[in-house]
Amino acid sequence: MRKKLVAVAVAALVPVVAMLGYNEFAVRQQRAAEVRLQAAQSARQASSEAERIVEGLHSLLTAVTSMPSVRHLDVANCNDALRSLAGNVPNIQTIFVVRLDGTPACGSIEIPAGATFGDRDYFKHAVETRDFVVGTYTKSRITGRAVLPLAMPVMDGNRVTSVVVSGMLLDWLQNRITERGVARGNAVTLADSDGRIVARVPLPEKFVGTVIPDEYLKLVHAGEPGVVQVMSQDGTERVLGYRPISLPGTPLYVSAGLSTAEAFAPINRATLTNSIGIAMGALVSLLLSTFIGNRFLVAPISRISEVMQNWRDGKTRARTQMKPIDELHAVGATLDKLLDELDARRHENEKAEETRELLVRELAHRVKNGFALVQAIARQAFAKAEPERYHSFSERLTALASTYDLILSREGSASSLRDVVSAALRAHLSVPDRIVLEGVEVQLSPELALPLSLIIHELATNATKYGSLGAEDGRVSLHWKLSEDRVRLVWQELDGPPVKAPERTGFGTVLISRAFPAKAKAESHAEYRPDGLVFEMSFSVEPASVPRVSLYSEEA
Amino acid sequence: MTKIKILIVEDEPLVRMLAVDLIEDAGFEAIEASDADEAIVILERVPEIRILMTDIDMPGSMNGLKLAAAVRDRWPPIKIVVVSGKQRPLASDMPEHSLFFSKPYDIRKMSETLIKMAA
Repeated sequence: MRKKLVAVAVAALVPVVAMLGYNEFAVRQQRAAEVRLQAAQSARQASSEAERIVEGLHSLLTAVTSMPSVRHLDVANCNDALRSLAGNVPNIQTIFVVRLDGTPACGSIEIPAGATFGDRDYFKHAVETRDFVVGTYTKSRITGRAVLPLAMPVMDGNRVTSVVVSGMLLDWLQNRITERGVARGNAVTLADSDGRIVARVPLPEKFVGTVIPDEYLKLVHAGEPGVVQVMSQDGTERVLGYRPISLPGTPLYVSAGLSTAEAFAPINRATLTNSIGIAMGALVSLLLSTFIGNRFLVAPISRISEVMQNWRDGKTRARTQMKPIDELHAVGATLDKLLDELDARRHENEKAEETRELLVRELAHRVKNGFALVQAIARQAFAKAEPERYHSFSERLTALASTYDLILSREGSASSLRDVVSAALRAHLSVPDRIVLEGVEVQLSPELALPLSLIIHELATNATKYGSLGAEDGRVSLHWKLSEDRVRLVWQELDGPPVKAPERTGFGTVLISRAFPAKAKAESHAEYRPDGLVFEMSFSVEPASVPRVSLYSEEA
Repeated sequence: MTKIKILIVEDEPLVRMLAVDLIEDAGFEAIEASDADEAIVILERVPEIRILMTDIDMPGSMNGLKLAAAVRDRWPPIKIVVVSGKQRPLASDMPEHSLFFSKPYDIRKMSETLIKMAA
């Protein structure tokens, strides 16, 4: 019962939980989309800033290529101009004008002996492409500082005459990026075309100068800007917006990573709050359903079943004492009424039973008094004239009366064959061990018990007069069997005087044919053997009247 | 030689007559009473009574069992036979040294019992 109630409560909670779950899913989807958008946007912003800076330097170098002292390689003027320029532009350290053989012609600082740019890729690249070139992460040979080299060819018509070379200070770039700052957990990375990191927030000291891991290296030269989900080198899971170098006017690879943990933190907090809320709600609803179930369902049902069990156990005063305040209590109240009625009926039945018993007892008394009167009247009528016949009559009457005793004491129900026989023989049992009874337990209805008792009485009387019971050591064996609902009974006289068949049909034979009910199909056979009478009889008993099978043998 | 006196208490005249015949046939003298009250009067007047034979259900202030108890109390030597058409009383309801016979009783057995008691 309790489990079912809990199931109901759970079932009620399921849609709520499902709705909240779906809501959670939708919010997360939405947030994920926002984060991707934001990552892409951040990458674009950082990228455009880098472009602007590089564009500024491009313009600067273009201006330098137009300076007459540079075009004509007027070394003294060139050195002056470049020194002044480098001093005023904070994001570059040095500017050199380099001849096509790689040797510097003039520069913002004094040129160390043997310095050459001929082997530098960006230099070669600028000569080849005759265009502005942004190189890769380089440690300056002259100052030893990390720079991003820039090269701009000086053109005379279609011919490259020399190359203006400078380098953006990565320290400066790093400061610019650091100043912009990032939200907690986010990261912005700038890398050159080799994938070497030139600036990064946060933790520049750890990453600047290193190469992006191979698995992300392909992003540096990807065809399109995009957004990916990555596990960053610093161990943070991020949504990474990136802009590859291939885009026109994009000299640096830029990526902006948004920490998913940070991005989803508010949602996660909300999720946690919701989950706790749901758990609390579920707990409260389970407690409530248990409480309500106990109070309004389980308790009344238990009470009702307890009362029924008590009633069955004989506590007839057990009542639910319920008032019909709801359906279950109405059941309890109705049960009380029913039990009241049953109780009343039971009392009536008991009273009726008492009255009936009283009547039966009274009737028995009257019947037996009637027998006594018949005995007395018979005595008046013929005791004097025919004393023998009177005695015989009187004994038969007594045997009949004792069988009545037996039947009435059981109130008309079945009597045991052994008891019936014993009662009929009571008058003849002055020497008890002379008659031996042996047989199975058989129950007889009154209509069989009465004729049987008269027959046994008759046999005993005759045995006393003419047979073995009249002799000093004569005995009688009375045994019976039960098979297929038929009793087979044998009266055998032993150790008596020699017997001979009587001349006329005895009372016993008449009794058997008349007194037994037709359905008993009674049969008898008397054999007057020289050593004693053997009288056999059989009759049917109703199947229902033989419930017991206990075998026993004892002497009556 | 005077016959032994037996008091028979029985409200039904025919049954009483039967008992009287039985007692006399057995060689005793029968004294009749139709209820317990009459029996008490007779017992007070005739002290030689040796045996009381009484029915249980009788009109009057006492039934046979009460009479038997009273006799056992006042005349302890008198032997008692209780007769009834009702079921056998409980042993605790019977006075000491008394016998019960169910009605109708076997006349021979009754005679034998009375003769044994008188001996």
